[in-house]
Amino acid sequence: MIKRFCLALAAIVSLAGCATLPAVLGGTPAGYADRTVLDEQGALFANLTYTAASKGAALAIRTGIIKSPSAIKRIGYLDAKAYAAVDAVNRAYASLNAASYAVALDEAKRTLADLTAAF
Amino acid sequence: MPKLNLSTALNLLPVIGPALASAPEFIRLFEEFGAALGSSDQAVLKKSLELAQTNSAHAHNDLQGLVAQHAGT
Repeated sequence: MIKRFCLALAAIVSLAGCATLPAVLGGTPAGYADRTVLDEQGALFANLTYTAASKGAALAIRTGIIKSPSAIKRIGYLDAKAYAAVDAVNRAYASLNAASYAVALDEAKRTLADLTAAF
Repeated sequence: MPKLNLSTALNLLPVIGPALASAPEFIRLFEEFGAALGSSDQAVLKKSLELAQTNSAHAHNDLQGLVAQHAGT
């Protein structure tokens, strides 16, 4: 059910007629000191997807959908990795570092997939 | 780039089930970022990104707090 939310979020993004979430996350970042709209959109999608996934996980825990301590602990671990990856995207965006931004977006895509797969 | 249609987005909420569909934090998420996601205005995107980053941090702290409470970490 919660995974369907994240799929719905990706569907909403594609409904906008913009590049799909994976395409935006994999897009080429701008060069130094030349941010493009794609940079903001990539970072925005990464942050929004993270927020949706972590709110979904929190709701699953609060409502008792996920109750085993080991499952909750695993979600905590995956959340920490996903947040660190999104934070790296944010820092790379802020520092105008195109190379680290591209790497960070790839890592964010991977860790967010791991987090959403956990619930 | 066409703007995101917020009512279309909200129509998808029933797909995710009533528990999540009625959760105010998801409705708020769509409402806050619906316009930005369909925008090519860099100023709008930058402002939305700042807000999204703040939301990420809050969501992270909230989830980690829950994990600590329920999993004893």
